[in-house]
Amino acid sequence: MKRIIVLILLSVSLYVVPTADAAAEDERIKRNRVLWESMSPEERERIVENYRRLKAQSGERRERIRKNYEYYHGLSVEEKYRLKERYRAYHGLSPLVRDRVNERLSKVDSLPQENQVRIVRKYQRIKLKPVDERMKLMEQSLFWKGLNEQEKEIFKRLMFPE
Amino acid sequence: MMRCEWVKDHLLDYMDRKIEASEEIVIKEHLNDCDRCSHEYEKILDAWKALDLWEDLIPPARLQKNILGCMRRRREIKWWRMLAPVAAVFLIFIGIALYYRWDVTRNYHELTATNKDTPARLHTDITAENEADIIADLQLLREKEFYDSLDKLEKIDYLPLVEDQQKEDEGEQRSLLELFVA
Repeated sequence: MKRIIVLILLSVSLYVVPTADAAAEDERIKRNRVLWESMSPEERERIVENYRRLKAQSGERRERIRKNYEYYHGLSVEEKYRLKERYRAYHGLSPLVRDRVNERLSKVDSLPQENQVRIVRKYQRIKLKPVDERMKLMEQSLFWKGLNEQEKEIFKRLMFPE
Repeated sequence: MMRCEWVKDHLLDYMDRKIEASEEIVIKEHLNDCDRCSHEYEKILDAWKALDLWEDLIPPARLQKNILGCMRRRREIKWWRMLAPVAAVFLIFIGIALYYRWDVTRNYHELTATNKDTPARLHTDITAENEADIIADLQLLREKEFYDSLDKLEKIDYLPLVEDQQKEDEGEQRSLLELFVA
């Protein structure tokens, strides 16, 4: 009898969890389909274009985008808001300015992996401070002191969009 | 009376000659005098004689084989009887689960499959399969550019730390920001 119960429990745990996931996925697809069909032709056109662009990207980049998507959906509401606002500010920059910002950001990528990890760890400590304190700290940095007024305005908008 | 009890208790030992000589004499004398005990003694003797008449019969080889075969079969039946319900329950569960999974997969394909007449289809070069991919990744595709630049947006926060560290390494001056995080 014990064996039967153990087998039943095992079978249930082996199949219920994946099937529950499959049911949730099923529901998500259903909602997406309704949404897709209710979209305006322009919106659908834009999405199809994005799909083509995504497909044209390298497998590594596509994977990165998917990771970003998952990362974003795991964030708190405040963090999501902060990133959305930053994106708006970044997107609002002129192509020339955006290129210059990207050029500066490439410094982060050029760092060795271990240094990048160290920088992220250091930032975690700053992140705990309230916004006004973070802003004061930033103003004391060599990075900030090296910026001209226009650049300061841009980075202020990007770093503290709220 | 007391002696009768004692003699009865030692009667088997007496017959097997496992008692002392003095006790043997006492029992022998008692058996000569006591009818009840001598009767008892004779009954036991008769029983022993009857047992001696028994012969050990060796069963025929075929009978022996049949009996052993039956026992083995019975043992096998027991094992199968125990295993059968377990296997049945297991098979039923696997059957239900497989059916459910098949049903879910079928629903998924039905949901993602594109009807050629649907007004949602815009491009003739977008196949049903592609449309299924689009529907599956709709949230991501709606804001593709945002998700594409997310890692870059995160790096903006690290920029002051990176540049200050570089300036410090080049020996320009000590950064207050570095001092804080240190």
